[in-house]
Amino acid sequence: MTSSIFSKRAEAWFWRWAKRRITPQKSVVLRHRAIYVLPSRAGLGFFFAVSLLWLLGTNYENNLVLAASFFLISLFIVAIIHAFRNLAGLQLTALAAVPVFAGERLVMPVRIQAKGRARAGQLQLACDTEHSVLTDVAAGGETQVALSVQTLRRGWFTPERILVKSYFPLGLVRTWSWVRFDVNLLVYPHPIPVAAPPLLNRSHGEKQSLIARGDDFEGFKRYQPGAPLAHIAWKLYARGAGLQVKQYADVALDDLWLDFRALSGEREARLSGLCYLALDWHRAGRTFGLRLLDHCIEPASGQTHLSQVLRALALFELESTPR
Amino acid sequence: MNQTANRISHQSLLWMLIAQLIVLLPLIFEVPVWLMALAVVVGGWRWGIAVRDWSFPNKSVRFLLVVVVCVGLLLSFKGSFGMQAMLSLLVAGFVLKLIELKRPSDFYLLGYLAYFVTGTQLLFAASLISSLYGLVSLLAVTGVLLAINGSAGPVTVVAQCKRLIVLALQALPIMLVLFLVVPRFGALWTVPLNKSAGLTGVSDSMAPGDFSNLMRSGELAFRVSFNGEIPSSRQLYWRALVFDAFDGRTWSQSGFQDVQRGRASTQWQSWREALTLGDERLDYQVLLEPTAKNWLYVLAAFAEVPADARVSPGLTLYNTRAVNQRKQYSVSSAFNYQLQAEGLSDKEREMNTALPAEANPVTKRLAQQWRAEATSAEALLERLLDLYHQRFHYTLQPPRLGEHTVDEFLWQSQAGFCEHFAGSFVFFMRAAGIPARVVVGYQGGQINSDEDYLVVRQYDAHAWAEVWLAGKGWVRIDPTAAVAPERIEQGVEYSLSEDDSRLLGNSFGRRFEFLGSLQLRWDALNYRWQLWVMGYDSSAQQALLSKWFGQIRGWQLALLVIAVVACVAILLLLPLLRRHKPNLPPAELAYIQLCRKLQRIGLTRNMGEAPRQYAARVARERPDLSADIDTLTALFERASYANSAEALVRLKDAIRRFHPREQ
Repeated sequence: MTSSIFSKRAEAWFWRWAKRRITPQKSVVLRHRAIYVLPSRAGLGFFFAVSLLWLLGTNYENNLVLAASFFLISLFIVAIIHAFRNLAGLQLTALAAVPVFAGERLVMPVRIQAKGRARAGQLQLACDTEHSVLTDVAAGGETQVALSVQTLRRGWFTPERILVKSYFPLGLVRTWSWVRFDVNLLVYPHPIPVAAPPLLNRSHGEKQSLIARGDDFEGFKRYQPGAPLAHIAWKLYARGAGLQVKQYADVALDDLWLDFRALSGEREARLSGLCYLALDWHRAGRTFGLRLLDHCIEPASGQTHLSQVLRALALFELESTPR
Repeated sequence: MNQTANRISHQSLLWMLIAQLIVLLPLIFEVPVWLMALAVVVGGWRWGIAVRDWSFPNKSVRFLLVVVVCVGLLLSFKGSFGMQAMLSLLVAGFVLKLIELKRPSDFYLLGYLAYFVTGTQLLFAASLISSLYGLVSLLAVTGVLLAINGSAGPVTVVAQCKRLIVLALQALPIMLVLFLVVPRFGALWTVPLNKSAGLTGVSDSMAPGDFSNLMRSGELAFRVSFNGEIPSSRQLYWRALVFDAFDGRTWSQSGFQDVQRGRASTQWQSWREALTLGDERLDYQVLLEPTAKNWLYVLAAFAEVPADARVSPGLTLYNTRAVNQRKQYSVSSAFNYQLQAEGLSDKEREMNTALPAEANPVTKRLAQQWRAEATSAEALLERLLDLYHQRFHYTLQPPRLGEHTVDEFLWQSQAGFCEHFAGSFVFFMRAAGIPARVVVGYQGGQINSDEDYLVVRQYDAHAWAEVWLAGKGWVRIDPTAAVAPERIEQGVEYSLSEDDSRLLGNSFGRRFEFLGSLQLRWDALNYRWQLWVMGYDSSAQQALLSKWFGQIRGWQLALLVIAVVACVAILLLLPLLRRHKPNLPPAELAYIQLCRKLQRIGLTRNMGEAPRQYAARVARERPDLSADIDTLTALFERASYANSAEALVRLKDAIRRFHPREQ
């Protein structure tokens, strides 16, 4: 019991200490201060094997066997230097990530550059224990890897430390570094299916019509970026009439509203429901607006609009600017 | 964990299989053949699993394999548990582990086993070639580790080998300094090498036919470097053992002489008193090949004894432990000496005249008759040697001898070689009442003129006699010299008929010029390797270190190792320490140079300060420089913004000649 408490404390202390040593940045160059080198388990085994060899050479007074053991020890020492060199000077940059819904794994692209240095072999990068990627970087070159990390809550997500480790070149030493990126990745609420409440489509409360299916076809309009793809008149396009969008009467007349107050339940459940509806309506190509307690987005449609709506849902009652 | 970390690439597996092949190949003569065949089968199977999707063996198949191998080992070694059996067990484990090779940890385990097997292989063979081969084995196994950890993607074999060699070259200086300074502790406990069965050499008894076997071997016995002239072949009698007991057929050591079996005292304390040495000394170093025996080979009478050697009552040298590894020792000898000239004890006299009761009646009778006829012991000697000279001839194919070997040899066959001559001579002398004994060892040797040392091979094995004469002590008499003087003066290959020569082991090199010189050169290289690398023991280490550094302490040696490691580290890390040169246009680079020159006199350019602003500030603070700085800035602007090549040349030139001084 006490020992586990002690080890937990020690671990916490260690992480605080490690965290102090790494300041979050957009782009990080691995420097000696933040690179750790220790023998791996295979390295300890190697050491044991070399000791046996040394014992063999000593006992039989055979200089060749002794020389072999000295050679292997020297390889070990050189491997430590190479292991350090493998990480030192690498530049890691976090690139823009595509937002995901809470509970999904966020894919975070990271660029690794080996500017002005030799190649880096077998780097292993991981955000958490679930998933890691393995890559090489050519001398002076760069490569891009996609890290993935589990998200739990909506809002701004700052990945914890990223582990960059390597067993290069012989697997005898483990070299690693922790990197903290100063990036904020957006996580949308987790969509949970809800039935659309009947009042939801009332724009100002006076109209009493039910949600229309929106199939009263009205005519064509020229395509403008952002218009739902489902509404594009592909047949006309095929005839060479250019991109035309089908116009539906109810879409033009009755704008739908996502209203925080119209749903019941606690805050997060409501946001999840709204998220689901937003996605659903977007897929259906409808125009809708969002009304939160303190915030309102006018009805519109299209990808940009959806992103805006989801972002507002993600950051509702949270700090809208990243920490 | 995830998949990527545990996957084994085909490339790594192939490296492993090749490394295994390289490591096991030289052991083909050390372990049973079926084990090697099994290694090949198992290796092929594992490769099949990888590329043909064969399945790993299930538990029962694995169990069966283990049982088969264990039974096979038991049958092969019949319960004897020496080094070879140990090695076979190691190899068996190595081979069986291969079939289970799945995860990286298995690779490491197998790799470490391979390192160890390579080490044991070096134990068996230590020539230059096998040392180089051992290095290749170590590199191949390291290649496996590199294949697993070196890169995420596939790598060409050439690139892989290059990386391996670079690693090895970087490790080399550290290894050298470790080899030179790490102290040698000597054997911690004794372990027999169990190689005696395969070793040829002088044995501790002499039965008819023993020496002819030895002479069929051209194997190296030992090599000697002399401080000074190499003595003539006639003086090179390398004493090893004294045989003073005869059972009618075999000469061997009596309890008085036999140090090996612990019957005689290991240290003859009074040898210095019994020995009177002349003034001349000859110093030499012997590099003895492993014999698995205790005795050492020395010339005539020695004046000084090597540290770990003992003197036997026959004035021969014994090592405290069996010589299982090549051994180097220095001796100082004198050719002029008198041994026990004052007289023999009764016990010694009795022992050195003893003969079996029934053996060789004819010889006994004649010996007594000759003794009566002779005026002195010397005259008797002369008469017998004269008989040898007149009537006997030297051959490696003597006729078979019956029950009374000496009788038949002396009076009927009269053909034979050293063992017959020495044996019969001593028998005759003893029968005549003169103390005599057989001495065995080597005689002569071949001079390697390239390196000026002497090579003694098994076919130089020789037996001769010593008789005790009043006032002279033990005197060496070589009856073979009376029969075939060329054997003593030139070597055994010159004393034989064409027919006999073919029996002589591998002596063609000595007779054919070209091959001979090649063989000599190669031997010289090997000798140097043995002397400097294999013979580098704690005393050589102390001598070398004190020659280089004078008095040096342990911690200073540790510092030396650290310094070498640091040097390698710095050389490797230098590219990281070097400031990354910004990739700027030449005009800007020139301008930065200008800024540095101004910085030195205290006029640092501020961050983001435009050249013009900077020039104005410089001119304000140092009016004497205003003309220069204005010109330079104008040139820079023209070179940089107008891309004028001519302005760039002038700018560079002007900056070179610009030497602002502090006020």
